[in-house]
Amino acid sequence: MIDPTRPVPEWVRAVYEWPLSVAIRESEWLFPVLQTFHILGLVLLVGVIAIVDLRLLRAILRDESPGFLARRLLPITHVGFAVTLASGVLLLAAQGAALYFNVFLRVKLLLLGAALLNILLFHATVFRSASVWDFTAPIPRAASAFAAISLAFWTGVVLTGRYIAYF
Amino acid sequence: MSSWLADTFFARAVGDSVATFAAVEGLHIVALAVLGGSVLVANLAGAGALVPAESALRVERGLRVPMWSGLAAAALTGFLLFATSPEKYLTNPLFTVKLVLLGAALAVQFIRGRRVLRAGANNGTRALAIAALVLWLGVVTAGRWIGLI
Repeated sequence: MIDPTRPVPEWVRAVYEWPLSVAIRESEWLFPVLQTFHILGLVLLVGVIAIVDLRLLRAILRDESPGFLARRLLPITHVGFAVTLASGVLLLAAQGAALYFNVFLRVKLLLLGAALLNILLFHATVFRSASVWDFTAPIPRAASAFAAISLAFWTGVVLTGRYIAYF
Repeated sequence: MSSWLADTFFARAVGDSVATFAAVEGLHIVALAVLGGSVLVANLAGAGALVPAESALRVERGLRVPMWSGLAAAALTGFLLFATSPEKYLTNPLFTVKLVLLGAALAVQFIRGRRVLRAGANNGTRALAIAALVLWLGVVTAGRWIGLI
């Protein structure tokens, strides 16, 4: 619900009033359809990232080269990210003014930023030498640390995302 | 039977607090992501995509743990959510649809996995992989709409 005593910035209001935002908000089926795509995209994104992370933590698939596995699975996460982002942006456009002060939305976006930064740092540092540790036994400690942080951040993104609807 | 279930301490603990209910829902989605990710990668690998044919068997075996852990966690959290208001779910036609699709998805997934382990990737396991993924898609979609009708 929009709280009339707490005005939101002009641009948030403007996005909220876009014909597309109004259409999504007022449609009986568009909103849940977008939510369904958001969850399916999330499975591709978070589910497949979790597999790579668990491999880097030596929890699963110990016989597969982690670097090779990561490279083969990355395209799936890119599709997942595109689907989750597109549906998420549309859901947000439709609800933005009502959710502007939602604490869980803010925390979720912060955690999402942190999770994406973690990916960038991983790729800019330890993953660059992946060809070196690909077929040698030990996984660098830094890589396992990136993986553990990634699991924590993405779990946080999903949990806070679920809380947005309730508070 | 169902009012007895809703009166159990765990059903009350989840149902009486919005924060706890939302947390269990959130964990249900995290479990679903792990299950879905494992199923997707195993089915693609077992269909001859993603990894070289000789790795498909190892990937199939290696993904059993996250697949079953994800399923167990999703089932547990799902049961807790169900226990808070059994009447509501039992009278919701989409809940039945979701459970039937889940049973079918698990059956196809299981048969497919056994075939891949026995004979490797072939046209049969490819068809089963596609069937399983379509059924899983139905499970997630029905799940999202349970709360909306």
